[in-house]
Amino acid sequence: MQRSKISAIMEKFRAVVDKPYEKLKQWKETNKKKIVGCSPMHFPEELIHASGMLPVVLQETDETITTGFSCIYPFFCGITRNLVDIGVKGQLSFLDGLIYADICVQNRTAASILRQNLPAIHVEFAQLPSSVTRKGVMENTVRELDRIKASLEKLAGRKIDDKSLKQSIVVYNKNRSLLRRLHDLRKGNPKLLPYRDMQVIVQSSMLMPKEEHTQLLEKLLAEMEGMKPTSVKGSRLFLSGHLCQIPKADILDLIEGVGGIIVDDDLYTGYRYYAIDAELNGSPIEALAKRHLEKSLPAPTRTGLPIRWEKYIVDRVKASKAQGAVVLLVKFCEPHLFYYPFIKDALAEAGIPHIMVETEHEVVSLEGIRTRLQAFMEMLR
Amino acid sequence: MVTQVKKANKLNSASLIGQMMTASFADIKRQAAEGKKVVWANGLPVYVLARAADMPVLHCEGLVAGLSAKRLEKPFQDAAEAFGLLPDTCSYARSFIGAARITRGDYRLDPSMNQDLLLMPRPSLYVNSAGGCGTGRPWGEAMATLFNVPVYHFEPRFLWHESDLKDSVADFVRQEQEFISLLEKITGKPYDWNRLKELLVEVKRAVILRNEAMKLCQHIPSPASFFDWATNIAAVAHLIGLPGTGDLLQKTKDEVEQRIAEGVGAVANEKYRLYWDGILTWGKIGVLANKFAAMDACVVAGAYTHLVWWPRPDLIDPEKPLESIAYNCCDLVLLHSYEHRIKVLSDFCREYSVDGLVVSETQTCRAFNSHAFMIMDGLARKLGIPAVTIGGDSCDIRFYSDAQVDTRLQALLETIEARRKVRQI
Repeated sequence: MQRSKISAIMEKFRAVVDKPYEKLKQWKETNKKKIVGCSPMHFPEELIHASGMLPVVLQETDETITTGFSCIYPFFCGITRNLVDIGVKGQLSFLDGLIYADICVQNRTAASILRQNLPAIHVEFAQLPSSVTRKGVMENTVRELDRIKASLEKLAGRKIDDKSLKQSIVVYNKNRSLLRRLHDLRKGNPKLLPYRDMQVIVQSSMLMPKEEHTQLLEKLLAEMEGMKPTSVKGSRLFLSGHLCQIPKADILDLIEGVGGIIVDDDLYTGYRYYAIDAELNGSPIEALAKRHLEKSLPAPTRTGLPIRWEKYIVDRVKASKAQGAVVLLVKFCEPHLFYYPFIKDALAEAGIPHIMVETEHEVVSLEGIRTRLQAFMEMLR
Repeated sequence: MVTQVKKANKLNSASLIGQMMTASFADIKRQAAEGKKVVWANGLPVYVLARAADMPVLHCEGLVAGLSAKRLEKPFQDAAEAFGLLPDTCSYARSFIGAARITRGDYRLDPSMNQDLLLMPRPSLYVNSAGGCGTGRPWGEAMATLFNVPVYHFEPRFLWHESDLKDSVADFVRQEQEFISLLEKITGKPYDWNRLKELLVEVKRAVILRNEAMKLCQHIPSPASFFDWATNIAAVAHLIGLPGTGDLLQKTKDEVEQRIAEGVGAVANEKYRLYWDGILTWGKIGVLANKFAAMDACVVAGAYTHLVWWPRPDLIDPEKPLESIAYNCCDLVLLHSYEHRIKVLSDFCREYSVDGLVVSETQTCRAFNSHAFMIMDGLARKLGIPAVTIGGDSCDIRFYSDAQVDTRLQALLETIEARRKVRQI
């Protein structure tokens, strides 16, 4: 009975992530509300939510890149190429606004190309400082968020006051806390939910109204929290990397298919998305700035953070009692490329076996990845 | 393969740059041996601030570009790849991280190699000022971690709206002030503002001389080529503010003027005038210069040579050193919008009588390739100028293919020729 209820809820989440932009177009027609897309990683969606518009985090689709190659080289990362491609093909034209946050040069390029090619859409670029310890950085972040807020107010045709922004933070904190509950539940009982389903839940949270997502999550948790842990055979794994974009389900299935049990992660479409709440006391804009500067997880797109990413990964692997780590590296993701040697060395120094799997927009040679993963799993046994 | 019968007529003064670079690296090592704290820096020459604090500065791109031009970069890249850096990583950064690994002793050089050339003095500070490129951030963090030294990241704003420049400059000045405090902490001495002003006088002289010399290439035939100016970048980058740089650029300008007076061109029989957008494959600079010359094509100007280093000499005021540096780091073509880039490029094409555009597809540099196709398309629409991309990479010759360059260059020149015939009809 419980399983069928869980399946029914999961179907609702899956319906959102399957062909997401078509679903959003339908949602817009039904609900007569504006939709604003924002780039992954650092932009606070709460700001868009408080304006009464629907914030959605831009997602990579499976579409083969064609027209987009008239604007961008093939050596840009998958999500950048894909968004430029579907943008120039008109598949993002239903959006009312698009906000990119400065995380890397590829992201910046996509923003600029889409602004040029989608003149009917209000495209903004949020320059949230990447150097989080520099003098005056808090003032700069607040000023930039205020500028974006004013821009959103113009687009929405209404003011964003502190009360509505605080309310949006409450809504988002609630959703994040439920995702963390689910994350912890799954960590203790990984059989509850295949990891790819966990990804579907997080991805759908980025695409649907948060309030609706929260309701579904509450129902899901109510079913799952009553279930007894099931023993599982396999090797406990920590999944790291994959900034900005969701890993292909095929690769996640491969990892679990060869006997890996993904118990914890730091993916953007994973723990990174819901790890940290914004504060509720004081000015809400300052709370968002503080979340950006002082509270976010170590990321290779930022500088001056109190702990380096590789050290953080080692600590998390140990805490999750994982036997090994799988590093998913998006091809051409330069921030991650720079950190990989340090991650590799830190894991080795801590005695944690790992395997690095490079992923691409076009999935190539799953068999090759399967063989490498099988060898890795045998090593862990 | 094109039969090369004609060679590029390179500027004689360009060869002096190599000697000055070698002397400069030797001098940095000498100063380090005497106990001075060394700064390693990437990107834009905001590091003159450290020179005024009497700290020797090693410019990473300057070093690896110079070694790549001599085809000596491979040990650096081997060291980086042994560390785990994949070949998709920026090859400037990759090479220099390899240099860092060698300096740390993590990667042993073959004893037959020139150890003196490849071993750098360890830094006490790292400065990232990669301008329009976000790659500088993780690059700087990597260096600081490897040497356990402080890193300062300069962050000019992307000029999403043209009006953002004023804010960006004001913010950059605040960063310079913070950086100077860090320099004072490291050196244990008060900052030498008078020395900075003196340096800015030298910078202004050098940059203006170089710009004037480059502008003389509007002359037909062009007395020098993009490849000369590429070699010459070091004079306004790594060598900026060092003794002898201004005099070297005066010699360069004199040589260019003399060529004009004598009717001598950089290409013996200049039939096509081209513009180069992007970085070039340093390891092929000589090959490329000769290849273009063999086809009677002169690359008369380029973005990397003409628009990146000190783009606003008119705003260098030694009495306002921080603002002067800020304008020259913030008002950078890579930080501007596509519309601005098209406007600047169109002006260049008109002023330099450009027939065609060569876009260097620098495989591991996403910053310079950000709008390549849109620029090609935009320029064709605006001025009817054809364009072609050629593959390569700044410091990794594995991405370069001679045959591909030959074919594409031939196609570009044939297109230019066909257009000329149409105009005659």
